[in-house]
Amino acid sequence: MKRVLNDKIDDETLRSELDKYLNEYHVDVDAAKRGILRKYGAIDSASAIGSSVVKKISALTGTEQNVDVVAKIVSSEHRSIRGKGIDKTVVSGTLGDDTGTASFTIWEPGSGEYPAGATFAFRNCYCKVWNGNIQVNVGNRGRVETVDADIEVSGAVAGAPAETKKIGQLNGSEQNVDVSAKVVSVERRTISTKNGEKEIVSGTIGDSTGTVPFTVWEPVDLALGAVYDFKGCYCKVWNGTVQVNLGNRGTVTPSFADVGDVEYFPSVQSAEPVNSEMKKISELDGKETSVDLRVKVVSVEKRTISTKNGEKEIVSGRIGDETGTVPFTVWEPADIVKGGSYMFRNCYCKSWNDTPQVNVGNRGRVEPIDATIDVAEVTYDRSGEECKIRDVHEGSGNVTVRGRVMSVEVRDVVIRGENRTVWSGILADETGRIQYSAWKDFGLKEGDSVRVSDAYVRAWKGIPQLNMGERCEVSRIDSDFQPVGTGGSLRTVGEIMRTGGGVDLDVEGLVVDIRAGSGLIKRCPQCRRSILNGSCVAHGPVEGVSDLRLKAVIDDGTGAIGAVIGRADTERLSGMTLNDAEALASKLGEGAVAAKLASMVLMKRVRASGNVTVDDFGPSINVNGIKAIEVDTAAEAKALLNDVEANLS
Amino acid sequence: MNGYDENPFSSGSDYARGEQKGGDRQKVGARETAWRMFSSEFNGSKLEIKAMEEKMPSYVVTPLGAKVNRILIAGVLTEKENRGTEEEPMWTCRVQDPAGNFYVNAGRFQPEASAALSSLPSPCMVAAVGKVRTFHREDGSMSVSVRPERVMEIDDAAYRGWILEAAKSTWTRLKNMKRACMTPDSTKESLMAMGVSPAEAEGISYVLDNDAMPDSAVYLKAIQNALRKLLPDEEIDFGFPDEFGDDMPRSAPAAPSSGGSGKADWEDAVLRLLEELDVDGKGAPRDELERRAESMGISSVDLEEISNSLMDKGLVYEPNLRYLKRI
Repeated sequence: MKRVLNDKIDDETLRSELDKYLNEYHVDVDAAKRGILRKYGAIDSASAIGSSVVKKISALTGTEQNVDVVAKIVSSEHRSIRGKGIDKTVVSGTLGDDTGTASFTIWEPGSGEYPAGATFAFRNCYCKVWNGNIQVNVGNRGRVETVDADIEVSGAVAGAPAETKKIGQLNGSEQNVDVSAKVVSVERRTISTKNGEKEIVSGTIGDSTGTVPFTVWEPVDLALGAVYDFKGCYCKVWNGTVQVNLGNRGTVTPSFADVGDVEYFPSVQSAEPVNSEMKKISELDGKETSVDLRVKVVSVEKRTISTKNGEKEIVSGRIGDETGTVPFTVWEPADIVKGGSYMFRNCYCKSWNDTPQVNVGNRGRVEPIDATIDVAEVTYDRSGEECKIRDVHEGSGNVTVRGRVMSVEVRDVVIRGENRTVWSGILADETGRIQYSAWKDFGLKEGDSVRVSDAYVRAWKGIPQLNMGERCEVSRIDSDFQPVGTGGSLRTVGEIMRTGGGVDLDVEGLVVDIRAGSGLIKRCPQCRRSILNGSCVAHGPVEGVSDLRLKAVIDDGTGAIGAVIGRADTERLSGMTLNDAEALASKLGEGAVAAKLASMVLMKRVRASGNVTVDDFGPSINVNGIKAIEVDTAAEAKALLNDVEANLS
Repeated sequence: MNGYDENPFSSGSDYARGEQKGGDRQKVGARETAWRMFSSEFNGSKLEIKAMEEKMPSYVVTPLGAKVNRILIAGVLTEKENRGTEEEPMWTCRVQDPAGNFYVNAGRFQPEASAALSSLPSPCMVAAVGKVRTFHREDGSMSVSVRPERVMEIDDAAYRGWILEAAKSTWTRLKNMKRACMTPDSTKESLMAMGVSPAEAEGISYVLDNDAMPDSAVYLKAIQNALRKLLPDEEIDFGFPDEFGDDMPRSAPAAPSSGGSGKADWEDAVLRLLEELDVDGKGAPRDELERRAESMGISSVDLEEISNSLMDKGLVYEPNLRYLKRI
């Protein structure tokens, strides 16, 4: 080794380095040698990028890491992209040679011009495949050189080589696949794209191995029952079902292939008849794709929802016939009056908590009819099942629980212009705690042990809330359980993601990240909101009050949860007080505070308590108590050893 | 609840992955779990689930069915090198755990991790959280590395904590995979019904659909090494020798010049030859080496490339032009 190092270090240093690697850090000899050689400059692989190979476009496979392409620009444009908060200009377009064309992107174009018609050598490129098309990328290692030559460009588009598959063989990751299949159902639809409206064709195709939904992103005519060759498809997976897509590089042509009898597997909804059938409400199973209902409107409400195309008015409520009632939603503005009789045509149904829901989409319509319909009292809500509080979650429907009233608060609220009194607080059993709201006076008192039957569950940001409404009954019981206190209910993040948030939960894991907004912040003295640039969103310019907080990410191996940690907990966990932080900030700036906090809490194992909410960005915990914890690794390792040995023998 | 709390995720561009459809409870915008696993399982990944749409995450699927987008690793930072510049660093590092090496690359888009790597000494004990990167060779084989978001120096207790977590979760995956292999027609649903978490159930069924059943020896050996570290006083022997997995990749993914996976085997063969032929300590004579390599199907051109690659890695050197010697 010494010889290799050219006497860059003396024996003493070498020996102590080796000792450090081998005896202190227990790494193997190879790694120790490599580490020392690297450290003292005997290995320098910066120059070892490797030489690139020159390829024709048709020879590209899309996996090249280092390739040269000599090609003519067919089209190009400067585009602005935004990544990680940095605006950046790239040049992208199409390039071609005598064997074909491919798309390209120059990620660091600088001031270079890449006009259409010019020919360049694109050196040290890497390639990727996107939807079956090959993309040539010139990254920061690559360079573009002018070439004095003219190239005849062939029209063929370079793509990943296509394979032919049966439908049952599709796994959803295909980039370029050919299938021959029979059209089982087909529908033309208009979608909005950024370039205006566009007609597409979708439905189901099948062969003897199964059926799959498909979408052709161009308006083509496909006949029901006919067999076609779908060439150059790409597949995706949605809700566990493979979907076949045909973009602008794919083709559909009538086929003479014998695809055999279409096997309806996996179950695909389009196997249902396309014509609507008439059903009674009690006959609904929640899976109908096209059904007609003759009903009376029991209740109705207009609502405005936000969609990506702006605000939209929808109508929802409850409809019924002589067999029962169900909730409905009409996804278009419609004049529907309470008490009126209607035909709901071409509805589709979904199931929510075992209750069918009727939807009228753009294919359906609602027609007033002249008829008298008696509505049965029955509804298809599931009746309250008795369960533990831990198991109550968003979507539980009606439930029955036993628990102890931990707190009661009486409030007057206004709901839809109506004054109501609500009794609310926390109910706990031995498995968990839940917020409740009683909409009538059940005489609840702190310390009561009660059985609450037929309460319904609503959730706010993933926190389930037990609502005691008109149908609810409360009875006093002898308590046969010990209610959990705050912080007694440890959950894994995976569990929270499956069943939703809750009050007073504990999570345990490693702090794996510290997010922006951590450290010293200013708060509005009136509303306590954090403020930016001396201005509160609600109260305008204010004199901010300093505060210390952490926005951390805790990961327990089953999932990640955001944690908002207030001043007191931040101080306890990090050992840095608000005064320390202000002193540090005045010397080195506020960024130093966040960096210092990060160095003190990152990779620490913590147990945090608090209320857990869940929204589209995942779960987050509003921390009320957090501490660093230590694991008895020896004891747990022993337990693991026993388990492994028991299972090996 | 305070009225002023804010979602700590709302500013993260990572998380805005578009609207979710249907009543699926799985939150599409949720941060990906940082999986705990040993390097041998991670490096053995052969399957990839690529994002089909913008802003959708990509995953590699390990032989034990972990569907990994983000990983939490720990070990000894044995070497580090800045292949970029001072202003635009590109750190390439190795982190050794009880089962082998993690390959770690951080550049200017990982400012926290790059800053940490520039100031950490080697060797030292580190933990890192990062995203999985894949690298495809010309022959279609894939290798993986970690692009860290955070790197921290840790103490021995924290390292032991990580080893324990990695060992436990490896064992859980191994047991679940075994159960899945023993149950005919295992599906994601049937696995979930057996109590396997949705993410792992999906990963296991993906492996069973797309790859061969994994060889449990590699993972049991990692667990054995881990437990020996955690319980130095115990006699722990699951029947595996003490050294690292034989399939430990020898070539760093960041050095594509070192060739395909077949080459890695050749490299091992050449290293063995070098030892065998080095009878007098001067090294192995070139011509003898060439003859022996030829008989194993390694051409002289290949041999040249292999020995260059081995020299790059610091495993061999040339005492003089006619000899090659193992370090």
